[in-house]
Amino acid sequence: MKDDDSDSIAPSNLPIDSFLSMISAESIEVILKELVARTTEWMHVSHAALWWLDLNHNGFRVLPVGKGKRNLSNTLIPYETVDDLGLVYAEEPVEISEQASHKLDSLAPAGSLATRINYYERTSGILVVSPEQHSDSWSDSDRDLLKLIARTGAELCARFEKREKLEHLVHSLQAMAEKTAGYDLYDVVLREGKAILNCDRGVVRSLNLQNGHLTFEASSPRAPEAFQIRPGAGITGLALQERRTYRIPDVTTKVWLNRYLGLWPGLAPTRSELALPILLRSRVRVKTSDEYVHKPFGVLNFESPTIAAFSSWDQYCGEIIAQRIAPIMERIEYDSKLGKVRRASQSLATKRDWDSIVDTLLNAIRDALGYEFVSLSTVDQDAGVIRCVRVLGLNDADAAEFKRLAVHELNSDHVQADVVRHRRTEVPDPNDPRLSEISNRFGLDKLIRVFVPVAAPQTEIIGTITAGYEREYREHIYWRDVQLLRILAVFGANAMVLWQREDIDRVSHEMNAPLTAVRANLDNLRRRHRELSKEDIDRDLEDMETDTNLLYFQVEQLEYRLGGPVAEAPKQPLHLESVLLFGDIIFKTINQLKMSVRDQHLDPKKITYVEADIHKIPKMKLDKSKISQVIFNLFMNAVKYAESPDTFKIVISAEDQPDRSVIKFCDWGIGIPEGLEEKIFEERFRAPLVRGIKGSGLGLTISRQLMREHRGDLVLHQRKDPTEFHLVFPKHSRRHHENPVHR
Amino acid sequence: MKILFIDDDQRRMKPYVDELVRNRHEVVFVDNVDQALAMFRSRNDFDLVVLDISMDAGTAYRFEDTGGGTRTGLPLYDTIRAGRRDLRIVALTNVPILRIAAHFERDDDRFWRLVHKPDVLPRQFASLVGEFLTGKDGEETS
Repeated sequence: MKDDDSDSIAPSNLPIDSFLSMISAESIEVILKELVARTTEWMHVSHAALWWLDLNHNGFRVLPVGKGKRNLSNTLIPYETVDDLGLVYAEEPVEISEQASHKLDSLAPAGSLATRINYYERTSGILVVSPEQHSDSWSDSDRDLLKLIARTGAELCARFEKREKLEHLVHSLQAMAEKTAGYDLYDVVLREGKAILNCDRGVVRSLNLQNGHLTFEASSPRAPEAFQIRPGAGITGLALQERRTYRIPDVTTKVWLNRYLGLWPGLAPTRSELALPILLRSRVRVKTSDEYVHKPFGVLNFESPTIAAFSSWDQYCGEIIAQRIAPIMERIEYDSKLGKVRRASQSLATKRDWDSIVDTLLNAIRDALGYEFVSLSTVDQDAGVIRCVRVLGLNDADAAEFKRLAVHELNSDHVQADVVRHRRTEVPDPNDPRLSEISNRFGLDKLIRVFVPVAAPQTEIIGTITAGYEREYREHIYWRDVQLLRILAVFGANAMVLWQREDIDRVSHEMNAPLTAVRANLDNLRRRHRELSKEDIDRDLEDMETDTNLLYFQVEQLEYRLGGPVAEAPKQPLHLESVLLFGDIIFKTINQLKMSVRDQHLDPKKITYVEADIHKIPKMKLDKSKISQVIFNLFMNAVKYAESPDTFKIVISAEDQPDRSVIKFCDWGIGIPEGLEEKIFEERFRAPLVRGIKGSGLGLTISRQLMREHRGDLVLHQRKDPTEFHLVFPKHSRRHHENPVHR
Repeated sequence: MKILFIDDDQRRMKPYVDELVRNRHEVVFVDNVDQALAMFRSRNDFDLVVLDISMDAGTAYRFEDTGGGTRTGLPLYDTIRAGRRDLRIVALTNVPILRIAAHFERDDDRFWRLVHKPDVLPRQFASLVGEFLTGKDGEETS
C-alpha cells in the first residue's frame, strides 16, 4: 500500500511480463490465481481476494486464491448482496464501510477496496484488497492501480474466454451440421449451447406457421410440462416478434416478471435469460421478382439461476448458434418437403384419370408444402377464359360458389390472366387491384398467395395453381417453396398432358359418332329394306358414306396424334397419281361433307366455286388421299368456325401461275384473331370457338405438313372477311424426284 | 310415354328417335342445351329424358367446365336432376361410361341409366328405354 504520492505508479510501470505470461494460460483458474498474487505484490498488501461469479448459484464465490483467510474459500456471497453494495456496476473502486463489511460477514474487512472485473458487459468477479491496518486509507494511486489491475485481468479473462468458447463453438457447429433430423439437432444444440454459455438450462421452440405459436421442440433438462407460446408472448415470443435477441439480466424485475414464462418448476428459479430468435436470410417472391427477408424458424432460449449470467460474448456465441442452425433447420424442413414432393410426383405418374391427377396434385401442395388454400384453374381458349376447377381450403358450399365465380377473361387484367400471358410466377400484393372482389368475398384477402403457371415443358399453358396461407403469421412466400410448387406444377402438367381428359373424350366422341350412325343405318337397312322407299335407302347410304369418310379422316388424325409431335411423325411414302384437283378431290369432298354441313344447320349450297377456274389447274401428280385430307380439314374448319347460318359461305377459286398452281379457299366465318396468323399452324393450338366441341388442334398443322411433303405449302393469305387460305402446288419441284418422297 | 331427347346430332340420332316413336313413345327432340333447358322449364310432364353428354356448351354452360364441350351433358344433368329428383334420365353418349359414371353414382340408381352409343342399336335402345320406364330392368340392376 503506497502513499498518496504514488503518481509514479503509472500503467507503464506495471511489470508487463507477468501479464504476458498469463495470456497463454491454459485455464482461467491460472489467470485468476496469478491476478490475485500480482495484486498482493503490486498493491503491497498482505491480503487480496477474488470473488468470482458462480453461474449456477446466483452469487459470487470466494476463490481459494491469495493469502490469508483460507477458511473463507468457496463461500458464496449472494449476488444481491454484492449488488446492494454497489460493487457490480461501480466504475470506480469502492471502499468497504463498517456496515458493508458486516453485511459481507467480514469477508471483506472495513476499509477494504473492491473493484469489479468486468468484461463483455458482465461483472464476472470482484477483486478485493484489504488494508494492513484498519486506519490505513487508500490513495488515488492505490485506487487507480487496483482499477488498472482489474481491467487488465478482465482483458486477460476476456481473451481466454473468447478463445475457449470459439474453439468449443467451432466443434459444436460441426456436430450440428451433421444432423439430419430435428430432434437430433436440438439435442446437440442444447447440450453444446449450455456448455458454451455455462448455463444449466435451455429450450428450443419452433414456429408453427399456421397459428404463429411457438411449439415446444426440446429442452434440457427435460421440462415436466411443455407448453406452446402465443405470438408475442413471453420474452421468447417478443424475441421472435421483434426479430432480435433479448438478454435479460434478471427476469424477476418489475419489467419482466409478468412476461417471463417459467418452464422448470423443479429447478432453482431462473434469473437471467438469453432468448435468441432463429432466423434465416431467405429469398422470397414479391410480385414478379425476388427479395430477401429474415425467415423465422423459432427461438432458442438459455437460462440461468444467476443474475446477469450471460455476457455479450455469450450472446454473440448464442446468436452464432441460432444463426447456424437456421439453415440446418431449413435443410431438414426442405428435405422433408422434397421427400413428400417426390412421393407425390411418383403417385402422379401412376394416375390414369383427370380427377385423381388433380386431387393428388392439390393435396400434395397442401400437405407437403403447408399451404392452407390451393386451387387449380384451367385455360379454356375457346371461351377465352381461365376458370377455377378445383379448390381446397374452402367448405363445400363456398368452394362450389367460388368455382362458379372465379372465371376470368384471358384478355382481362386479372392476375390469373397475367400469369397465363407471361407464363410467370407471381405473388401479388394482397391489395393488388388485379385481384378481383371474389377474393375478399371468400376471405382470400387475408392470405398471401402465389400464382404459378401450369405447363409441361414446350406445351401450351394448361392453367394456373394458386396456393396461399394466412399472412398474419407468414408474410411472405418463400422462394424454396415456390421452387417445390413449380416442380409439382410441372409433374402435374405432365400428368395432365399424358392424360388429356378432353382428348380421350373427344376421340371417343369423334370416332364413335360416325361408327354408331353407320351401325344404326346398316341395321335399319338389313331389317327394314323391304318397307323402305328408294329415297330412304339412298339417304341411309349417303349418310353411311359421309360417316365412313369422316371416320377415315379421323383415323388419319388419330394416327398423327398417337405418333407424337406432327413435325416428328415418320413420313409415309407419297402415292402419286395424276389428279384433277377440282374434279377428283374438291367436288368429291364437297359432296361427302354435305351431311356434316347440314348437321351444323348450315346450307351446303353456300359452298361454291368459281367455274371459270376449274380448268385453270392442270392435272398434277399428287397423293390424292393426303390432299383430300387437307381439303377436308379446311372445310371442317370453315364449318366449325362459321359465325352463323346466315353469314356462312365458302368459295373456292384457283390461279395458275408460271411456277405454281394456287387453290384459294375463302370462308366468311369468325376469322383469325390478329397476331395469331402463324400460331394457328402450331400443334395443339385451338382458336377460340363460337360453338360446338373443341377440336384436337392438329388439323392445320397436319394440313401444312402434308402440303410441304408435296413440296408445296399451306398459307393464310387473309385472316378475315374472308378468311383466305392458299394451297400452293409447285409445278416443277418434283421433276427430278418422281419417286415417292420418303424423308 | 313422353320423352325429351337432347342431342346435338339430329341426323345420326334419327334412327333412335324413329325407333322410340315406333315403340309408341311421344318424343320431343332438341339439339342444344339452351333449348333443352327452356323445354324442361316449360314442361314438367316428361317421363324420361335421353341426354347426350358431348354437346356445345351453349349460353347456359359457357362458363362451366365442360371439357371443351365433351362433357356439357354433366352440368345439364345436374340442372335437370335438381329440378326433378325422380325423373328417369338415360345418358346416351359416345364417351366411355367409366369416365362419367362417378358423376351419376351419387344419385339414386333407380332414376338413371348410362348407355354407350356404339353398344346399342336403335331397337335395343328402345327396348332398354321401355324396360327402364316400366321398372323391369330394376331387378337386374339393383
